[in-house]
Formats: sequence, C-alpha cells, structure tokens
Amino acid sequence: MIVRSRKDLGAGILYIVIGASFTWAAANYRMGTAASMGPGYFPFWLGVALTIIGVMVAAGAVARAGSPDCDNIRLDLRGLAFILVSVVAFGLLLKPGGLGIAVAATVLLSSLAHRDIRPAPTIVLTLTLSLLSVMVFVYGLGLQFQVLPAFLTE
Amino acid sequence: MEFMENLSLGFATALSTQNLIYAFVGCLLGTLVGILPGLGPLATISMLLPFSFGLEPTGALIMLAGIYYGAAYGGSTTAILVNMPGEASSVVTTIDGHQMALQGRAGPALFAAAAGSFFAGCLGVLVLALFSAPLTQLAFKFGPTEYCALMVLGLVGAVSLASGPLLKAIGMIIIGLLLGLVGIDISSGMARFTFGAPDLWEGIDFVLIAVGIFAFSEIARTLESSPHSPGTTSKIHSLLPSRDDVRRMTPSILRGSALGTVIGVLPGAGLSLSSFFAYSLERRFSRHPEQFGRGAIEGVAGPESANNAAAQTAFIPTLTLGIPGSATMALMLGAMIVHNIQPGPQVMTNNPELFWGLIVSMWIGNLMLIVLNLPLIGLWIKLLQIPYRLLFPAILVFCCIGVYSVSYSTFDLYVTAAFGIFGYILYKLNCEPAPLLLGFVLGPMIEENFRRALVLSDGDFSVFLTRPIAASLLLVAVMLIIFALLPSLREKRETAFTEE
Repeated sequence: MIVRSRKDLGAGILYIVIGASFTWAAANYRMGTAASMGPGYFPFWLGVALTIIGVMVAAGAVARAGSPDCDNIRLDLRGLAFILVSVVAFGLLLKPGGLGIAVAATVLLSSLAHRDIRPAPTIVLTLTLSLLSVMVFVYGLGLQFQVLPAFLTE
Repeated sequence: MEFMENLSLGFATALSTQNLIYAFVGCLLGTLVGILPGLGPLATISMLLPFSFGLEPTGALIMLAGIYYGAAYGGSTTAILVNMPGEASSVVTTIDGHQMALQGRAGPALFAAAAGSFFAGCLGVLVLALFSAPLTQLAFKFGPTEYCALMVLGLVGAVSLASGPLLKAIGMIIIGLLLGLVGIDISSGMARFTFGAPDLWEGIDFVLIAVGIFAFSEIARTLESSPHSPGTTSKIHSLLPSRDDVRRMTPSILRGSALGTVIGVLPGAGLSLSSFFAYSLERRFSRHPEQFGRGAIEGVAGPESANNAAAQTAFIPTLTLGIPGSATMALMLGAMIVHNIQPGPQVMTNNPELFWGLIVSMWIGNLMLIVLNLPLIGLWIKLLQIPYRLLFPAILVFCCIGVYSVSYSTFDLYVTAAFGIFGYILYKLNCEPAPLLLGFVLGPMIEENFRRALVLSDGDFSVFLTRPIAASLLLVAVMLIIFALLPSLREKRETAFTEE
C-alpha cells in the first residue's frame, strides 16, 4: 500500500473525523421522522455523508502499488504561530490594558512573524497603529473600546 | 414604464451624498486591494464586514460591492506593470499586458484594460437591471421544495464549475453546512453542537469564519511563501492608444463583455473563469494568433472586459434569488441578513430603494473607477512599494478590532484564531475553503426549506422529483456533476482558477 497523495489522505481523514464527530453529536438529539424532522435529522445524515466522502477521498489517496506523488506538506509554522499569538494577546489585553496597549502588543508580536524584522520601523509602526486605532475607531467611528488600561481608570 | 420608475428611484438613492461617499470608499478600497498583492477581495470584504454593520444597509452593500468590482479593475494595473496579478482574475492579463509594458506600451495596455472594464461594467449593470425583475417574478413561484433544489443546484454549480477535485469540494460544502447548524435550532429550540458554551447559542458568526479562514490564514500563507513586496515597475510613456490599437481592442471588448455577462451569472463560475475563457476566445478569433503571449492588445482588452462584466452579473442570482454563486457573494448575502434584509425575490418588493440604488450605484462606481485607475496610476505605483512586513500587522490589527466589534466578545477572537488554524490546515491539505463559506451561509436555509418541503409532502421524498421546477433544477445539478467528472473537461477545470 502506497500513499499516493499525502494531502488527499490528510483531507480524507479530516473529513472522517469531522463527519463522525457531528454524526455522533447529532445522534443525541431527537431524530423525528421525515415528515416532522427533529433537530438531529439533518446534521446526522450530513455527518454520515461527510464520513463516506472522507473514506472515498482517503481511499483515492492510497493505492496497491505505484509511485507516490511528490506532494510533501511543507510546514513553516512561524508565521501562523506568531499571528495566533498576537490575536490571542489582543483578546487577553483588551480589557485590562485598553485598546492602545492591545494594538501595540498585536503589532509587536505579529511583526516577529516576518523574517526581516527591523526594530526601528517596527517601533514606529507600533506607535502609529496604536494611536491611529484609538483615534479612528474610538473617536472617529465611535466603537466602544476601553482606551486606557484598567488600573488607570479604577 | 415601470423600468424607468425603478431607475429613477435608483438614481435618487445612489446619488445621495452619503451613498456616493460609500461608493467612492468602496471603489478606492477595491482598487487598493486589487493593487496590493497578498490582500484579496475576499479577505478585505471579510475584514470590513464588521464595520459595515454599523452603516445603514444600502450604504453598506454599496461599499462592499464597490470593493468587489473595484478589485477586478485594480488587479489589472499590477498585472500589466509588474507582472504580478493583484488578484486571481488578473492572472490572464499578465500574459500579454506585461509584454506590452516591456515593449514600452504600458499606457495603451492600461487604457485597454480600463476602457474595456468600463464598457463591460456598464453592460453588466444594464443586464442586471433588465433581467432582475422577470427573474424575481419567476422566483415568486418557488415553494420550499423548489428553493431547496435551487440551493442544491447553486452549491453543486459552484463546485463543478470552479473548484478543484470535486469530491473534496463537496466535502467542504458539507463541513460548511454542518458549521452553519451550530447554535439554537429555531424549530425545536434545541441548542446544537454548542458544548455548553453560551457564546455559541447564536451560532458562529460568519464574520469569524470569513476572517479566520480567509484573512488570517492568507496572511500566514503569504508570510510563508512570498513575504516581500514586488520590485520596480516599467515606465509609462503615454496613456493614449493608437488608432490601430483602438480598432483592434473594440471587438475584443465587445466579445469579452458579452462573454463575461453570461458567465458571471452562473454560480461558481467566478471572474477568473471569465477572463480565462475570454483569452481563449480572443486567440481563436484573432487574425494574428502568434502575437498572443507577445503583447497582443486583444489579450488584455478581452479578459479585462470579461472579468468586469462577470463581477456585475454575479450579483444577479444573489440579489434576485438569494442564492450566492461564490464565496464573496455569500458574504454579501450574510451582510444583508445581518441588516435584517431577507435575501430572495422579496428584496425587490420590500426594499426597492436598496435594490435599485445598489444597481445604479454600481454604474456610478464604474465611472469612479475609470477616474481612479487612469489618472491616479502614479500614486498606485508608489503604494506598491510598501513592504509587506509593515502591511500585514496593520491588516491584523484591523481584523482584530473588526472581529471584536461584532459582538464585543473576546471569545469571538479566539474562535476566529481557531478558524485561522483550520484555514491553514485546509490550505496545506489542498482543500478549497470557498465552498465551505457557501455551505455555511446556506446551511440553515437549506435545512429549513428541506424540513418545510417534507412537512408539506408529509414525509414523501419523491416530491423533489414530481414537482417540475424542482426536478429540472436537480437534473441540471446532476448534469453539472457529470460534466465536472468527464476526463477531458477535468483538465480544463483544473487549469481555470478559483476566485481568490
């Protein structure tokens, strides 16, 4: 058995996992009949369909013999990791730190995602964006954001 | 004549100062988006959705629409000057457009693209205006059975004409449908798939999925593959085309516009498909096919007209039937739902100012875009030099603020981040995310119509085959699937790109 396409195999497995999960969860809800569908009916069968498709995709990715396609999955997680960290930081810092600080953290952390990070332009960008965000979104558009850190307003 | 009445209502709405400003902002942003690589129209619209919620509905839709067809215009500038397509549908323009630029003829190329796009846009809007009314009349005859069949057709069409491997794309649709079902089920009052998190009772906001899968993961991918800005550009001598140029580009513009108008209506066809087909068409009709690839002006005028015409007519199924043909249209639909406008044929009767105002505004937008794209080219070139490492943190901040402002919930931010990871995984596994968004927006509606159809037929599934309209819609869907599976056409589909 040779894996002909790692990407397709991965996709098939993903579908099977998602489909089975939804089917399993939906089975706990009332099914009802076709004429009077319960909350579980539609998602249950969708999940089943997805699982079947997942099996078909995975099966298509595997063969008895032959040469594997060169589709290696290259992962360079630095970018993704820093983006996620910066978004989570935004969420965590927004209430205690206020918008300005949250934006600054996001810019600093996400800039680390890029290979060519240079300190001076990054700091300028951080300050500019923090100021701009507060001015445009809070004062300009009137969105409800805490501007100053919590400990200053308490 | 009723048509004239509708048009004047449209003009009255579209020409209000506020709506003119929204149209301008939309076109400006669209052009920017088209020019800056690494930022596609889908990601931009996702980003701006939360901010548009605060605007009143007509203005919001005008702006979002402006971004959409503006990007179709703007992408041609970078395609011609720097050989980098600003977005997917401009890829074809790079072929002959950049060759013309290298020969010192960037000016005529840009002119051909802009003029062609303008004409095509006008035609597209006209078709949209003329055909919407009869189409909505037809749609009023639809019951839940027909709607269900129509939505299935829309989804199938979207994947059979555009996306990659059919089976994987169908899988993506189903994932989208399932995600759309998260939350409290209206009919039974039961909270589904919420795992005890009250934040999920209202369901997952589609903005979170859109921003996560399209914006966040796109940034991650760009950082991985091409994190730098493009280099120097070719010089522009004169913008004006020669007599010969005009003679050659006119028929191409006409053909491209007609082609794009028709293809744009089809669900899933997308702008890229129109430009690709237009290029092939021009090559076949040309008296000098050997010039293609070496700077034939028809190779710029035709595709650019096609993709702009398609950008306008793509609104037809969304506005009249409530069936989005592509991920971007799904976002527009979502935006309408948020503003409490029930998409479908009733939009024309319940919100005529919105409907006609939007249509007229698209024409005005095309006018604005000609101004933005021709004289202001020097400015756009400067913008191309912004390094990506300064750009993407700004995009990220914008997204975070936008996502938070949807429900003022930090939980939403984490959900979006999770979808960012999901989007990244999908990309690595070669799975098309666009069908997922389509399925997500249509999921609850399909379930509701399916349920109602079966209630009406008392559990009889054959009703989908016995009612004529529903049966023929499903038949077309089956034909599209067969069409997509035929080996000879399989290659054509794989080479035609998707929307982003």
